[in-house]
Amino acid sequence: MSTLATPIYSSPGFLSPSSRSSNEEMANLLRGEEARLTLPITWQRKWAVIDSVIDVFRKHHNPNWDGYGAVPLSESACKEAASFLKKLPLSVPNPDVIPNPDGDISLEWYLRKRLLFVVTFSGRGIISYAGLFGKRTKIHGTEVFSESIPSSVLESLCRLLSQG
Amino acid sequence: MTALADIDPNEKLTRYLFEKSDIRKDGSLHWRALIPNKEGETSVFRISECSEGDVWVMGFPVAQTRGKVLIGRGDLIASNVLEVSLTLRRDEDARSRHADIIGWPEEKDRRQAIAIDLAEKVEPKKL
Repeated sequence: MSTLATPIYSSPGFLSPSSRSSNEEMANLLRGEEARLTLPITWQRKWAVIDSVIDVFRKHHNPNWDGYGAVPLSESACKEAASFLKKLPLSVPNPDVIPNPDGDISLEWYLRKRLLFVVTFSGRGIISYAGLFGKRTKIHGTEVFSESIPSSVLESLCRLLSQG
Repeated sequence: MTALADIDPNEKLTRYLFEKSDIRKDGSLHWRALIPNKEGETSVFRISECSEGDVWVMGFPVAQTRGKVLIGRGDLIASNVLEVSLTLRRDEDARSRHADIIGWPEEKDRRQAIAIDLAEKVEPKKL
């Protein structure tokens, strides 16, 4: 498998909506993009959803973005979501990226009505999850997230995807 | 605002929607549209005895006040709120149709699970 080129994504302020790219940063970005095009399709798919996290962050960094007094999305929450996505097995389909009014960001796997699983990131090393597996089965919980994806989260994801 | 238990469980409520993604492609309501604000309130309007047109007309100034464009609404009844262990608090002003869904738990996972549950009961309508 190819080595990932991550100069832009690993830099501290890469999500900053107001940061202006220097020539060097732009050159790095282009080199990164070139490297990404040589990645296997599964990795390109994964990077596409990480791009979505960045895009959602940039579109929801103003207060009251939902009209109901929402807090701007937290940069650390978005970085945590990106880190989670990088660790996710390649066989797992891409989730939708959902901004939350409290500044958190969620990744959601929605198969159909009453069949969904959501993982939410606050940027504090604790992830919360909730899911609905049919009419009667509901789950929710919290887990510490640092080095690897908690097994309870992976198990829930597998459970959901097996019903797809 | 005052907490009042006199909202009829059969009373119709609506949540005005301002984000296109609040209504999924399959026509169901996204749970995100019900997550409370930082004060722990989900704003709704009491629409019993209002005509369909009146409900939409009420939504436009709501959107304008919030600097947003009205894209739809999610209708529910008060008992749906009670079924998921939340409560309703209506405005003190008897003329106001505004109310808040309150009683959300502090824990994010529980809050999200309740929002997912409640979203299943809501009937979304696009403008």
